[in-house]
Amino acid sequence: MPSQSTIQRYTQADPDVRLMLRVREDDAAAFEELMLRYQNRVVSIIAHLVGRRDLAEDLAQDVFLRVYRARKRYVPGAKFSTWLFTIAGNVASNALRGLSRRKEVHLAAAPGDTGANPLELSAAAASALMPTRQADKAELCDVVQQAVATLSERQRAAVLLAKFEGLSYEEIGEILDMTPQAIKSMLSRARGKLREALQPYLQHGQKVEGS
Amino acid sequence: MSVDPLNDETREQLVAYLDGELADSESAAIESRLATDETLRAEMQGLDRVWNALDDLPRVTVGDAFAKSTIEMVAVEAERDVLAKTAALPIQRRRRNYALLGACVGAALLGFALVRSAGTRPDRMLLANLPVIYQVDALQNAGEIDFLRRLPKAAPSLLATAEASDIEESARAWEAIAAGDEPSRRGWVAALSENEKARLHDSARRYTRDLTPGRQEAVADLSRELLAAQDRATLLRTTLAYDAWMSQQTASEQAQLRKLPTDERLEELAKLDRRIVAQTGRSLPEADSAALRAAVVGLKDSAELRRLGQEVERRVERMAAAWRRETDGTDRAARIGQMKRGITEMIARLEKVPAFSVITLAEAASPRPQRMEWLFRDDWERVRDQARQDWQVVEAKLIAALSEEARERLDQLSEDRRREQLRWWVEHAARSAFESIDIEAYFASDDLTDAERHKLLALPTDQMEAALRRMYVNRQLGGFDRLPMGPGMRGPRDRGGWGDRGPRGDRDGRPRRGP
Repeated sequence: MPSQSTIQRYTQADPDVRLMLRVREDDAAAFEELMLRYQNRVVSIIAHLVGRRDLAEDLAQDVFLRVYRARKRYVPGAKFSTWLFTIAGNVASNALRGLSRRKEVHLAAAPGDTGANPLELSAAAASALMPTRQADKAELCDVVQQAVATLSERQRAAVLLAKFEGLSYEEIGEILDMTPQAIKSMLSRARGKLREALQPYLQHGQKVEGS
Repeated sequence: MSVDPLNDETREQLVAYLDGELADSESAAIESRLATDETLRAEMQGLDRVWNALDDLPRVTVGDAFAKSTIEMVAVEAERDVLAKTAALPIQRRRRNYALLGACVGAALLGFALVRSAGTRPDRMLLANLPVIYQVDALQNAGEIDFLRRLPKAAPSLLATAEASDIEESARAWEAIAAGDEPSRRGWVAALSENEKARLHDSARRYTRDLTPGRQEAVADLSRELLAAQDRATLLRTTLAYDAWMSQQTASEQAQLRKLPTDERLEELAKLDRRIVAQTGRSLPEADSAALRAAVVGLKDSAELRRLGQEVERRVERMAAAWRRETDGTDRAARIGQMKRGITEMIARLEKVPAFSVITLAEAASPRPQRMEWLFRDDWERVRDQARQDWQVVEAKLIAALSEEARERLDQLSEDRRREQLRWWVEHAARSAFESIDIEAYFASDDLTDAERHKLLALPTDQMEAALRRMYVNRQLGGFDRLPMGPGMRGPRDRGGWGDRGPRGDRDGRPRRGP
């Protein structure tokens, strides 16, 4: 249970916390506002964590439903986004657990028509690429996705939260329930792995176009 | 691929530096190293480049529908909450405080845009009831928990006819589904193959449309009871094994069994069990089994075996064409798709698994071949007569492979009984345990087409090996390695008790077994 001063601090500093406190009092407009602010980010991160764009929207809805259901118990002990992404991480994790139980795939079902992970399928395509060739944008997209898919679930979560949500090691640590030092090591290893996977495509000092 | 020249600690510092997470003193230290160390600088640039590459990850945006439907769901929950609170008040107070409650209710509910769709989204219903829907047929067959507890003692051999590995997998899936929350279940459903998904939705439709609310509740109660029981593990497996056996029986046999009260049903099943024991008790010695398998493989490309598959294929095309002409409805289209999918699997297996062809041919030649009747309607007698002719040829070859003793046993039997016994022996032989196989050699052999090799290579290693093994056993050894009979694969069913449609033959299933 966070202290009074912590509660005060976040309430003052974080406008999204204030919105959530209004949701706690059944303010529908506040809930809608929060959703509009976060929906793309939540769907994005879930899509990349789970590797399934088609599931991401439904799962994201689960996240917001949980936010609604938890509203009466909400106490500002952190930034709102930290709390929200913790929920998103749990939902993604559960979905991954459900997905991984389905290991059986019959030969009769062609690779194209199973519920196979699209990232796995493009791995076969990507492996046919010759690394020294200059990759064009579309291929790079596939390759980057594939590289991210090689990370463990937690590494992926840490990378996505750091990159797209700009969260600090401490904030990421709160979400993933790890110390900032542990996050530091994990991010370092994850980026080392990404580097190895993407090295051939970035070989010629070609800076990848990005925002 | 170059090796990462950094040691762990250095890389950690570099990454933290790039992330702005280093204390001032540490930052300064790194900066001075970077100033002089070219390799280090190059490494940092590499890491930076990789980080920028992540911007290439597709960014996801959602349309208006997302917010709208989420708010709808929340509104539904809000309303339900309010109703629950109202119902919880004692009646007197309910009336008196309604005005007050109404004010609070109004504020809460009106706040959420009440653009309501008709009822909650169907797939949420499916997910909420998934443990029941997953095995709705098995639950209906079982009826009550007492029956399931007494069944293993009453009819052990009958239960043993089910494929143990499939039962095991289904049981585990069932428990996992029951224990899982909504996202977990959603993930599980999403990972199903298209066929499995279609079957699941079919089950869901049966549950919601064909069962009366009373029966729905009964089935849901049984499911809950089962999953909460101490002896859950055994009960689930018994339920599934019984269901697997039931799906082998004729539609009328199934209906009759379902109608019987528990005690009488158990008696009836015990009787059947004794018959099964009598049959398998006199099963073939291993040498004869091996000879039968070899004979089956020898029949692989014969006209007799191929003819039935071709008939089925032609018939399906004609049916699909006729349905398309008759009507335009999307429901029809979906059912055509479903039927074709089920039959396509059957046709594929007829082509690729000679043992299966032999068994199906025997079934088609039997006095009342259920599946053929459904499929061919008025034409079934012609198909059966042709099947009998073809069976004569096949039977002769099978018998020729057997030992003197085995042949003598068959001599004593009538034509129908002899066909039944041979069919049983072939199936039994096909299910023997097979020794380890040289998968790599088989992969390179002529038996596989290039297209098949290509498909296999796209699978993850363990699945590729399992598939190769299955192909080898099916094609080369005349056996079944694992006849895929996962959830939803059934023989013809009678839904006469709670629906007015006839036997469902639109899914594939194993051929009928037993007398």
